[in-house]
Amino acid sequence: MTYLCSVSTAAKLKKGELVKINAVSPSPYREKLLEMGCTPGTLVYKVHEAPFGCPITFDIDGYQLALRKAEAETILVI
Amino acid sequence: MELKKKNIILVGNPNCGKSSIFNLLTGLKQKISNLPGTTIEQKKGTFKGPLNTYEITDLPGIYSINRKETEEGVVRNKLLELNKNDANIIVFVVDESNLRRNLLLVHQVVQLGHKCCLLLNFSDVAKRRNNQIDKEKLSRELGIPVLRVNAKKGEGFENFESIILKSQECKWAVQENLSIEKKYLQIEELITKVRKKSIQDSLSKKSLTKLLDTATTHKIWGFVILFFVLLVVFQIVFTVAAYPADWIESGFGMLSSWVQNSFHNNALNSLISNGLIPGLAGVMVFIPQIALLFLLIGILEDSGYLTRVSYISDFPMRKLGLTGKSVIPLLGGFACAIPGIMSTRTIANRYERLLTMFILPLMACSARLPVYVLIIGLCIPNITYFGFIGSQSLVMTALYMSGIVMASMVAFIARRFIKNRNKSDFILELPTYQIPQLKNLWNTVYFKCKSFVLEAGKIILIVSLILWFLASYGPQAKMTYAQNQAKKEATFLKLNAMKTKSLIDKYKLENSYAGHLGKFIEPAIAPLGFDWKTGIGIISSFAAREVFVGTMGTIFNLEDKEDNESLRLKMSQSTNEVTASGKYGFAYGISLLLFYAFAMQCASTVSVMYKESKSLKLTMLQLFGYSAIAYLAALIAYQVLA
Repeated sequence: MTYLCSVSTAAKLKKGELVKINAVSPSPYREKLLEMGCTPGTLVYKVHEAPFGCPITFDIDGYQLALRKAEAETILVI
Repeated sequence: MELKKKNIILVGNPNCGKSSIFNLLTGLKQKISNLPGTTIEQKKGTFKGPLNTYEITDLPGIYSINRKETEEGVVRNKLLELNKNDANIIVFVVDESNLRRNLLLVHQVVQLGHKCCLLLNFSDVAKRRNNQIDKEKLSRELGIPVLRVNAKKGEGFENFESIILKSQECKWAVQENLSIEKKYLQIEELITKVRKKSIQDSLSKKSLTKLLDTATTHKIWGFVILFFVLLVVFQIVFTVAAYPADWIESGFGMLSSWVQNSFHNNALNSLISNGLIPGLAGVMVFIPQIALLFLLIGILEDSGYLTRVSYISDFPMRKLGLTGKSVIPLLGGFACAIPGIMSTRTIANRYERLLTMFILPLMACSARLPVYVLIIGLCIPNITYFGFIGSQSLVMTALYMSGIVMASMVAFIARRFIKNRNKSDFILELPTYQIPQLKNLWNTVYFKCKSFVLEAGKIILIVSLILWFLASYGPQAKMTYAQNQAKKEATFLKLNAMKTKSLIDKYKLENSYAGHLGKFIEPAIAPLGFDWKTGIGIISSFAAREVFVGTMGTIFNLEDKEDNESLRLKMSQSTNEVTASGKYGFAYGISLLLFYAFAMQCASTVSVMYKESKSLKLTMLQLFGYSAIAYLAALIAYQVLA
């Protein structure tokens, strides 16, 4: 599988697109996101989104994590 | 000196199978208590090994112990308070298929310096995904004993006691406080060392969970499925529970009349047959309904479906200032507001949590059901539209909807006045779908019912007894006068013995303390179309709504208080007798139903609300605000319809 080259956020992923987390930008959610396993280097892909396009479910290292768009935007991916 | 019993404390992430393991080890010998100073539950039980007996504590599932304000902080405090000696052993329950995130909690907790050991659960899933680990290696690396178990099948627990006895302090414990990123690096390093195969295949694209999710989280089908699931749940609760409820009712009715007829007819007999037994019946009759509702909600929760409900409803709920996480407590509110309010703990944001609690009592709880059934049967004519829609079930549905609509309105208005200052988040694990385990379901239902009988039952029983007293006694002079008056009237009308007795009872009731109380508030409730008898029912309902049915039974002097059918007959008869205008008619019915839909009539909910919100202001606003809304709604309905 190929990784995207440009810096983007998890919120912009397409369904099934596999990327690597680059960093989690500072926000009130940062600590919790890190605790839930969203650490730099982790593989992540978008599984599905809820009706109305938010929240979004990601597969993070083998388990499914739902995040709101605003939260997913703080996860920078490459 | 006798050795103190050893304590085992289970610690782990949510969805790691901790509760199943706890249930397996302890069986039904469990005690649920609150952690000191909080309403967060801990479960305690005993485990008998071949050598010793141990006390096991099950703490709520958490991801981290870093946040103070939520369950995490409470667990942290509990762990900090434990003595660091052989008597306290921490047992980590770890999901092998999600080792990385599960080990973070282990890393944080071992820092507190307790002796510990580790149980690997969900190894079958890990095996399927091809990322099983070498447990001997893991044990060596961490310096603590590791046991592989299968909680679903109850396998692997033969050596449980031996690993407890071999518990050690973890090698990670000696390190200074690391950041989360550093901890994760260490965990990843460890996992690479202990993983059996170097190829990682965790990103398997197809699984049953993902397949089911395409339906349950679909734009349209997601909500359609939710609607049907709820429809089926409520249909089952209303129809199936009616049978055992009927048996319980008639059983207690027979017991009551047996007591009344086979012993001396004195005050004690009356207390038992008219106060105590109907009071008990009032408690017991709710058990089938509550058990069934908790069972069905338990199935939805354990299967993982309720998390999806939170997920798809987060967006619409946010428009009301709530969160997707409000949905599960609100659904629980249909069973009973008390566990509903307690389960709002999962909402970390204080504003959202308080708002969820605030609107929760508007959900039509199961205690309103008997009142609805009685009044609808009495006042709403049974007409069928289009051949299949009955007017009575239509009113019932409308009542449930009116609670939801009012709750949305309150939430919407609250959002206008109070700003949500804290950042709200929706970081939620969607667990893999699972077939719920019977043993876990049984435990949930058993303990919920038990606490209902003990907690709510106490109140209902006490109220029934007080009511019996108030309705049986009154100012001496007035009571004697009423009795003589009734006798005179009976002789004049040449009534038989049965009818004379019932006339005397009626006069006595009107002059009893309860009668005086009802008459006292009559001017206030007359504009709503309620008479003094309904007034007594409403007053007693402020202890618990379901008391209404029992109270009306006492007031309409029946032998069997909870028997709706005959009470309904009695009430409709009195409609014809007393006034030709239809005293308990359509307008009265709608007015009373609306009053019960909105009024905050539950002492237990008020006390739980205060305990959980720690805000007297909010609790009082809820109590008086909703009662005012109820009064206004009933007033408008009656004045328009009458």
